[in-house]
Amino acid sequence: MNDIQPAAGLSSAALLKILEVTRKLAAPFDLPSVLAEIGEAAREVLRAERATIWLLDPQSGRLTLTGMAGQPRLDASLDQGILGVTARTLAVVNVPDCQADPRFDPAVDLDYDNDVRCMLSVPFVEHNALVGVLQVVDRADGPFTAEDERVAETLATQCAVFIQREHMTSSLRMAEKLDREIKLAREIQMSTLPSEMPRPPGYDLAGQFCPADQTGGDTFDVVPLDEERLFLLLGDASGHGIGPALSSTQMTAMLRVALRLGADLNAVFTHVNNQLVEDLPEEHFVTAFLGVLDTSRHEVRYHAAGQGPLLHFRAAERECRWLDPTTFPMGFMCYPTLDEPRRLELAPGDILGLISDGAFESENAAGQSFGTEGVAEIVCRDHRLPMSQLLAKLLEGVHDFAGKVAQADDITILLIGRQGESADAATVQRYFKRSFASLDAIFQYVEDFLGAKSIDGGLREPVCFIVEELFTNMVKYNPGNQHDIALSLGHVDETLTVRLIDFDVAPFDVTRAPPVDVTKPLEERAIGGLGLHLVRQMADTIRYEYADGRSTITFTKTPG
Amino acid sequence: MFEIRMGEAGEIVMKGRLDAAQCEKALQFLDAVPEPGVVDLAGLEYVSSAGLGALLKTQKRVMASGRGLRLVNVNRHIHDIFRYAGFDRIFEVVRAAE
Repeated sequence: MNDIQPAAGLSSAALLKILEVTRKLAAPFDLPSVLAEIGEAAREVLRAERATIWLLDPQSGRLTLTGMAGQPRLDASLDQGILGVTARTLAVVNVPDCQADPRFDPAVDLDYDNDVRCMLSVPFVEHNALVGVLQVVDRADGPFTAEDERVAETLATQCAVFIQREHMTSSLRMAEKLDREIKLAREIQMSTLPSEMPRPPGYDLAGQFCPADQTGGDTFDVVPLDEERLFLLLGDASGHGIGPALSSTQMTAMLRVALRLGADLNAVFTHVNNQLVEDLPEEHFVTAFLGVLDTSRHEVRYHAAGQGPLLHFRAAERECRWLDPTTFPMGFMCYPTLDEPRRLELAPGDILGLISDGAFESENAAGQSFGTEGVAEIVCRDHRLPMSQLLAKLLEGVHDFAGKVAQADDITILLIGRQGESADAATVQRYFKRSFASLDAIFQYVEDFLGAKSIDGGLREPVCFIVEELFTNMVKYNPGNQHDIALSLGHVDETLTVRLIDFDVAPFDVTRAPPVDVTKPLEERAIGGLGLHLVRQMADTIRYEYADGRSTITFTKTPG
Repeated sequence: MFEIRMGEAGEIVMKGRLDAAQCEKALQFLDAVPEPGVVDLAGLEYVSSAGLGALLKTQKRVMASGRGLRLVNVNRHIHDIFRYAGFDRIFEVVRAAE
């Protein structure tokens, strides 16, 4: 591979020596021993007193003296001494009388006793770039000759190739090691995320962590505390790499332990913060939302330490409200006192969205960021979807917005949606799987609502009938659709209003289905097609709307 | 729940809720009865259009051999549906005593 170029006029002794060195270079030695070998070979072939090798440190752009293990590191800039001249010109410098040469600098050309006579300074060059410098001094029989120059050059050519290769393999090895460590850190980080979301009655939760290529410091957690309370966490440790991933993993672990020990929110916050202050390097911190959702009081009590904006979608106003962090990030400093947690009420249909900055700060090719506007637009449009589907829409939105721009930061989203389950609400809503098997649950849902409202039993059968017809139509005509179907029930002024919403479908106006002539004799009657005819007979009013890929059918029915 | 079986006097007895999910079960049973006649709906609380389809299909088969289904003990709500669907014209429907 690294064949020696025959150089004119080289003595066979010199050639043999060079060949020997080259052979050694091919063996997998570590760099220091190889450099020592090169130095020794150069000294021997050129019959010199001493040989030294300097290597260029690509990071600092300075030359570093090798072979000085155990001694303070010596380095030199490229403008000092004969060393510098060699490095800058990438040419051999042959100095017959060092003490008379003004370019000679005893400090870097290593003449501590002012007795160096002559010097041959040879650059190691690979692909026209400097790799290092070989300096040999004090030839036994007077100044270095032209043949010496060629011998040294030949030696240097071989060495440069080796050194360069060594640099590359070591940086490759470093990268591989780092890569393995990052993968490991990522696995640890992922393993702490909840594998399944709790399903507290009346609430719908969804959480997802989408890592960027490099490990970031995002995490989230949902931990049931008792029948009615859930602990909610979203955290983002500053920086990228293994450190933040482990910081956030450590925080999650500490929180789980503290919660298991029954600590209250303020105690948990204080202890974990103080521990992070102690553990984290000074410039690091963790932004975090720590909250407790009480599903019977419909409130979230929380601390948002540098974590914000928090999304509160209010169903009644159909608008997104953005809440600021309540305090500074965790791990900065110990708190002398801590305010009571902030309180947030969730009305039926409301959504609390914990979203890491990776989503808001996601940029497109024009350098614009997705922002709260991007999130709000999707939430206002799709808030009726089950939380897992809304979450998918948000990620899709970020992805579409960014286009070809790679995801720069982790994106983590935790959505907490309150369903319209409360008995005192005028309207309730629930999602049902697109399957005939959902019918029992649907009938129960209708029955429970009518019971809770003390609505006359006479409505039960016709309402179930109409809902079943509309629902089974949706199932039949879009069997492959993955979206659940929303059913909402409202009761105002004795009138029951029922609405079914089918997502991601083509329009089909049930109010325009062809009428059925029920007076025809049996032979002419079709077996199907009766459903929509009967629905129109039985409902007091029925309305069909289509927008944004969604069919909404609303009907009313009054008792009697 | 939905239940369908033969009664003691050779009548077909349906009970519970005959919705779209149960319709296949009803149809399989009805298809297996060689000469269905009386269908007792006293225990039937609910019928959907899929259930109506099953009855209609059976009636077509039975009428071909010159007979017909007799739907008896039909509750008020189901009777309304039969009426909306024009079933009172093609079946013999007997309402339950109020």
